[in-house]
Amino acid sequence: MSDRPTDPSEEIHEQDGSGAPAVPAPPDDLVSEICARVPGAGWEISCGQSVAICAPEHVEELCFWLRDERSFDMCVDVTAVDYLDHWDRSMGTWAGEPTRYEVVVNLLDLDTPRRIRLRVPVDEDEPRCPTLSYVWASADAAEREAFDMYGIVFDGHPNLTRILMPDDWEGHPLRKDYAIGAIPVTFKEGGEGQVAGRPPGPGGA
Amino acid sequence: MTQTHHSRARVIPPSVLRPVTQTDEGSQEMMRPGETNVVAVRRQRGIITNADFDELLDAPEDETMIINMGPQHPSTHGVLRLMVELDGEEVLRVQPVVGYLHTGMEKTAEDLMFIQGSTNVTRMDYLAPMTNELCFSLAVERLLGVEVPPRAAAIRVLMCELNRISSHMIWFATSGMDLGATTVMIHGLREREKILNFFEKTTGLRMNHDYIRPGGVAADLPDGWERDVADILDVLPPRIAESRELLDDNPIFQRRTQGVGELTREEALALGVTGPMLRASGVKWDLRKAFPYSGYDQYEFDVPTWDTCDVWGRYMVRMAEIGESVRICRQVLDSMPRGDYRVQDKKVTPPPRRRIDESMEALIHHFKLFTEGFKVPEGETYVAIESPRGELGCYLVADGGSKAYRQHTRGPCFVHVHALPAMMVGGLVADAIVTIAAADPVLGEVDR
Repeated sequence: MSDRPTDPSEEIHEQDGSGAPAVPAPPDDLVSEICARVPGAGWEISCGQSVAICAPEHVEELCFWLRDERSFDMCVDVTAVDYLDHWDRSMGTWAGEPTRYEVVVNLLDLDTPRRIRLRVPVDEDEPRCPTLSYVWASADAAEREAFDMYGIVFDGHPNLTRILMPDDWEGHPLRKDYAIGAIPVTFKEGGEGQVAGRPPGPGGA
Repeated sequence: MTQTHHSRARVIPPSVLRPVTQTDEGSQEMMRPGETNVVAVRRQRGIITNADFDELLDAPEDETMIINMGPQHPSTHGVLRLMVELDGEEVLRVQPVVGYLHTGMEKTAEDLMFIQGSTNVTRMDYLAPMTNELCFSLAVERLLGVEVPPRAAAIRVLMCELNRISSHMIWFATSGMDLGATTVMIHGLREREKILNFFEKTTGLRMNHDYIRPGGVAADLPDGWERDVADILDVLPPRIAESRELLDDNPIFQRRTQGVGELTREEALALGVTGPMLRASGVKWDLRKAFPYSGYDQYEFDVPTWDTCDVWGRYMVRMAEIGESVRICRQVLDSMPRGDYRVQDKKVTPPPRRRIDESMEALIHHFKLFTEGFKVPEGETYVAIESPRGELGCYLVADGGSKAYRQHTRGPCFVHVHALPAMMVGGLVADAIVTIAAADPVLGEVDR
């Protein structure tokens, strides 16, 4: 950690610890605009990159605004992360509870040029997020991949089917509790049915 | 069912099952219009913007035919399967079906140490392995807060630009072959061979090099590399000019490519298309200029664009890019800095080979680095570079350990394959082949 370049957010967080304002002011114009527009939005500067953290119910409206008013013409990528082993991750100024899944949207403004990343915390029991495929057509296939790999349901998606795995596949392979597969082997002393590697779990291949 | 199968019975908790049953998850294949929803049909018809394409759709349904192109057909450049609805020879709808080469590389990456990671990513876009390695290494270095020495950055630029030339040459070769121009194929492969020979001399392998690694490059350039590179740079431009003579003024080539596979600027942006395809739609966009990395801002080069939005434009842009890459390589050749080829940070870099013979500590250090790996501070980052095909991004999440918690690759080909309906619909089947070739898909990267 010591030789990481100090970014402004870390200094602000230190002030935060020593009794300064509870919610530090965002350093970035765009991030502060988002925080002002979207109720409950948080922000973070991660390795020098602007990140906004936004609840799923506001993300569609925010994305329309970013596209129409702030010239974010391109949705570069939509993906997801399963933080099952990592609930204590850094969530910036986000005030809500950490969730198991996060949808990550990378946006690009070609005119300025600049990037912003949206992190959308998604509930564990019912992972749902509105589709962005009506905002940017490129989100269509990327959301299908996130659904295939994590089982996150993109509400309103026109054709939410698997994309990389076969149609009849069970489970979502990139989830952290998905068994990566185990080959049953028979040991001389242990009797039959002992399994080498990780024990089979949900949707084990 | 045998005992063995029983021990692997699947117990799926409700939290896993629910999303599957609650969605309209169905077949990935193309359905008859009546069996699927209107938006999906519009996508398959390539309707992205609100432009009115409905006059294309007059053919009565019983006269149309849904056929498969691929997954095992040479014109699809790998195991890409396109379901195409045809009315005679005219393409009405297209549905790309991918995943035939899916090997779970992102899952594999979660089980590999950062030091092993570039071995994994280099296999994604196998025609441009150097850019994959660079993108992954830059992401790891950003999380580590490590800056590579100038020589390492210059070597990376040199290798990536040579790789861009070789990748464009194989595109030139294969798309020429798709049009029946076999001489072009021979020429393209001949030129690529020279670059691969240099790669082999430097890295030991012709592909999947694992040469660019977090912290620098694996080895310094070999003795006499200046002569090798100068030789490549002297030989290539005249030979490429000679190959272009076969196509540039060729009326068959012009009529097969001009006005084919059109993609407007608005469609390209909405579909997330990047790289030469976006530049052929008239957008002057290059990540090497917009967000310079690895010292690209020190080199002079132009960003070629074309405004015809068709396959011809993509050909012109790619050919001009080869010239720009040659220009960059010449500058690197003239200005190669001296010094280390990897960062002198004991956390990341193994000790030199000769130290291992002399010092017990160096041996232990080397052993621990390669068995335990180095730890990367907690954090997440997205790094994007300009690969020969477009924006190649790496989203990396580290949890403080020596393995990636999540590594996602944003491949340009994945996006381009799903932009194919917008380019192919309304054209003929023969044009579809040319359009696929111009998108230059590498299925290793699409499916990962």
